[in-house]
Amino acid sequence: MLRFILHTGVLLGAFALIIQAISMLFPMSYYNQEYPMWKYQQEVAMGEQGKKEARKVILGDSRAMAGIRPDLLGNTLSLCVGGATPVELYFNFKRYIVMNQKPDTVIFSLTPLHFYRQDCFYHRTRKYDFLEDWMIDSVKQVAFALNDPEYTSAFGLVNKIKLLSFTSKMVDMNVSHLSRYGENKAKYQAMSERNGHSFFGTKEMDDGYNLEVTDHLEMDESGQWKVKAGKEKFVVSKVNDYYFKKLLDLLRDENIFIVWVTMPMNRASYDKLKLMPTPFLQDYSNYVKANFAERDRWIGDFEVGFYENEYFGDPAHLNERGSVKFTEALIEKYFR
Amino acid sequence: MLFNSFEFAIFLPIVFLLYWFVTHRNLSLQNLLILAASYVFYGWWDARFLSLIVLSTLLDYTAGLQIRKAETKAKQKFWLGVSLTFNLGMLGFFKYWNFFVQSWIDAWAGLGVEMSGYSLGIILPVGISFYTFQTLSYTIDIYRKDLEPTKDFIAFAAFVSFFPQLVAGPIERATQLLPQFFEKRKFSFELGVDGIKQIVWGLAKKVIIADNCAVLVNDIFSNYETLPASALVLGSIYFAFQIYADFSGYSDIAIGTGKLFGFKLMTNFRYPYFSRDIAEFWRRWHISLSTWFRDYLYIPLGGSRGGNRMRLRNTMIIFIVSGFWHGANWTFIIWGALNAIFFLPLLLGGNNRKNLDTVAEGKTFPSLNEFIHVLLTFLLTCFAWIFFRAASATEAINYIWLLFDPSLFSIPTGYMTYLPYILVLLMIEWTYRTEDYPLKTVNYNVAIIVFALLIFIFGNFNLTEFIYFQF
Repeated sequence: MLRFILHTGVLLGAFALIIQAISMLFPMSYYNQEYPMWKYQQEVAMGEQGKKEARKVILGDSRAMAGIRPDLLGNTLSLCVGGATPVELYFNFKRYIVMNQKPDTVIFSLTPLHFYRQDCFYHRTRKYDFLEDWMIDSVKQVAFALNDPEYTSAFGLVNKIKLLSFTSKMVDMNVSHLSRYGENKAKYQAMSERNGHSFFGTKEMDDGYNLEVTDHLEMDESGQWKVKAGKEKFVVSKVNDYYFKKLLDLLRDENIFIVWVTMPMNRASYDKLKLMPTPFLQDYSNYVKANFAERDRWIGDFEVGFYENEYFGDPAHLNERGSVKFTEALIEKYFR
Repeated sequence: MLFNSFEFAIFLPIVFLLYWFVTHRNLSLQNLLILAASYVFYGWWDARFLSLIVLSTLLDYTAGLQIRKAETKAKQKFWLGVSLTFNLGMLGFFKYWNFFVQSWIDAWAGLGVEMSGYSLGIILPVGISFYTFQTLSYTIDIYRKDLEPTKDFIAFAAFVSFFPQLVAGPIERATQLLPQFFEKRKFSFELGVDGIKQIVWGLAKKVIIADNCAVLVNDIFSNYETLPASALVLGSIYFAFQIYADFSGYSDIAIGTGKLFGFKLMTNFRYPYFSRDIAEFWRRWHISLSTWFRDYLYIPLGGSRGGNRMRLRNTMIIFIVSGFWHGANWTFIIWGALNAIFFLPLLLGGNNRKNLDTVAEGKTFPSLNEFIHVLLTFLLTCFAWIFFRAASATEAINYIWLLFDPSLFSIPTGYMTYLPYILVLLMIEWTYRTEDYPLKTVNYNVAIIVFALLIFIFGNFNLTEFIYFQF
């Protein structure tokens, strides 16, 4: 019996080691397309890739990445990260200015979604090793000091154990894994060629609802939309708030001019958010505006607007036409 | 609980260690542990339906003892009748109620009479078709005096609910499995290795072949009206391998798990797609069910005695009942009838027991004649599988109709992804076709490391349920 258990245990251990090695050595071969994008932005920040002397840098999440075109702006680099909150943006930009030439201007945009929650800190930031250990430790300390459940849950014991082993990556390593290398490498290359820009949705139009809508509203059995319990207000995560302020401080200290940009929603989502009992979008605008109130060297527009659905490639991201329209409007307003 | 789930990966080692290290000195304790583990295993899906198993167990335990105690044939018949009525009644209610009601309404609607039905929102309890047949074998065998009833309720309950084969077989005979609950089980290194290798092989078939093929099968059957005929051909081939790998994979995991606990379960599949005719196919496909029908239905009906007419009638009956056992849908009945039609010429020509050995035994390749027979038999089964997989008989007929199209000779781009997987499976199975399962003679270290890696790399872990759970 003991011989059987030991023998089987050794075999399973050997198998686990092999998988562990694969998961550590070949991430580009099994993760989905988010990985090459995050990897690229990490390497740009570390000075290993990209334009080292860009005068304008775009900071933001996937909506900013899709909607603001570096190629139209000229001499611009997009350092946007899909799913990023102020946490990732702060640390990534901090190392960017150490390893690259400091830009004159930062075009900064972050949607309401990435202020009130985080959904990638475990699944992308930590799994992809996007941040260095000391950065993760800092986030942890802040999260527990501020008692922010949005982040403290990402540091649970189970998550910690899972992160140590290949099991955290198993969900990504299924049917097509080890065959994704080609498409991921192509994505990485495209990011490089487009100075950090990428589209997300590629449809001709999308009248679906973005996450701000689906996070706060739901349809009841009679087909009427109603607000989800406990989701009546725009509530900023304490950690996100902390790092947003830190990022603004960093930009001020480095004497970098900020252009704050509010990305449009598609009409479907915009209209639906009007059903919120408190002025959700207005609260978001007020929150951002308040953070800029005491600062100088910035311009910006804090009001959330909408574009028609035909400018969206998915419920949240501008498509090709939308990105051109939006970027041209941006140039017209701030860079003529 | 699914065999291909994380929960089972935790559950199995815990039960295994308790079984061999805590309860190993006492047979009754081991049986009690098996019973408790089996109820946890089943209750993980839906604890409410455990009551049906408990009820079936109590009733058949009592019926078994009463049949033996009865002094007259009439009393014995009465208790057998109670067991049959309860088990088949339960099966009929949960599995067939809505079907009969709907068929009744449809029949009248065909005559222009509108009727309202009493169809209920009945959930089909997982494994009900399997464990009811298993317990029925107990009371029938006692009635036939092939088996002595047991007084040990725990052992009997453990036999009824034995978790490795509870929800999808193999359907064990009481005469074969029940006595094993009264024998001291011994563990050996060889038995453990054998069990693990069979589990790994079953899991590989399930997650590499069945669950990957399922993706394309679902796509093809959902969009068959817009696809070229060549893709539809591939759809039926993929389904043939999906259902085979799914079901035989489950059986392998069940048998392998049984070995880990010192039990020998019956072989359920023996490389059916290498059959040279339909009769051989049915000797190699879902063996535990086809032999159950043979022993408890075909032979009591008169079997092969009484001339061709009787044989024809009985054969048709068991194939159609077998189809109906799979599900309450006309598609399964047609599938059963089709197999009967394929089988009957062999029966009438006296050729149904021609191929009792393994194809090309002792040779590397089959002869051209053998190859053609194997291929034709496979194509016939694929044709019948279309009815098995389709949502309705109309859909199946439309699907078949669309096969006769010039696009049959086009290349079904985008649907060939898993053909190499199937080819590799066939090559492995062909090489080891005389073994119980292909990894049996393969070195343990190689089997575990190589196949675990293959499962990990090529497997689809979207936790698809086993197809036969619905039956």
